[in-house]
Amino acid sequence: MDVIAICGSPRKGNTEFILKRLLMKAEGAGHKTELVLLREKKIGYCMGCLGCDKSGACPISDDMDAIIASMEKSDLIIFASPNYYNNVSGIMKVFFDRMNVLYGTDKLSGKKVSVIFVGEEVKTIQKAILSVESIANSFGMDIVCSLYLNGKGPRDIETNPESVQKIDDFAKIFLS
Amino acid sequence: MNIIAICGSPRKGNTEFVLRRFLIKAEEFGHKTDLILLREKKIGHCNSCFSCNDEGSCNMRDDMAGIVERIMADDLIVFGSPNYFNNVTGLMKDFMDRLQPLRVEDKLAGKKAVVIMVGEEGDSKSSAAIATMTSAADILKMAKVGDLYLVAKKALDVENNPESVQKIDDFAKNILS
Repeated sequence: MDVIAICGSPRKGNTEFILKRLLMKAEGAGHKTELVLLREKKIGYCMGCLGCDKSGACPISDDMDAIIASMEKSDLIIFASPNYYNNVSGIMKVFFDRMNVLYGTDKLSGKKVSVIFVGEEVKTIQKAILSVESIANSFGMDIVCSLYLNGKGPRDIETNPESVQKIDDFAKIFLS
Repeated sequence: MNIIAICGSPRKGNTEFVLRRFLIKAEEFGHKTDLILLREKKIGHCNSCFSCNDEGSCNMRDDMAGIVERIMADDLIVFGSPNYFNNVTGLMKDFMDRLQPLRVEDKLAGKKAVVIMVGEEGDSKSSAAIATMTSAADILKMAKVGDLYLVAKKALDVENNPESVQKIDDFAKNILS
């Protein structure tokens, strides 16, 4: 499989650690992987111009073009974000808004998808996961499994053997 | 009351129209109002450095500092956004994330909140976007006093629909009179 992971964290911390670990496991199992760190990309706000509705293309030309091309080629897409206000990070939401150019096409339909969140609030995280799963559903993607891990400080997960074990167990599920 | 409306739409369209109409009605009822168009502001993504946790203030220097100062003086904050993927826009989400310094010290606690969304389909009861914004207001310990969901897609859909305009007027009256 071609696996692409989209990291919606604005810092180098838990979300990125999880994705790197998952992709390492995926490589070990013979899959091809790509990690996209949104914080290093230039992605402008969707302007609501509905240009994509009319022409099928976005008039904004920036790093989103290459990310969309990579997603179209992939078999499994991982969307990962820290939990901010029971929701994805702003940087992740800006990315999702720009995916509107794929809305109503079948370019992502049938692709496997996995949703990952990191945050402090275990009680309410389901809302955040559901919101991203709902986006994946709207593209006809096939939700494989989702993962939530507790973390606040940037190295909370890396330094917690139990969390690392959860990542490894999760890798087995979504790569099987 | 001092009322401020935050517009999370990237274009001049329905959301801005609804907010302007709501604020005109508010003025008629004797309130002071202000409108902030996020698309005209420079607001960076929260970089999760936790300086607000540690020092109580944000270390980013952009238009958010002025907005934060402004909303501290308000009694009611109207959050208005188009519905993108059953959620607020990226522009609005960036703004919400940057409210974190106020959340840390409960500085918005007790202020009134109104949530307004515009989208192609849905209503206020079923809208996940309304629920998301409401949840953020809860986290900020604000007291939500109402929400409004209007159906529209093209930029003038609400303005050209007398029924939608009436809904705005009724909503404003219910909340502000």
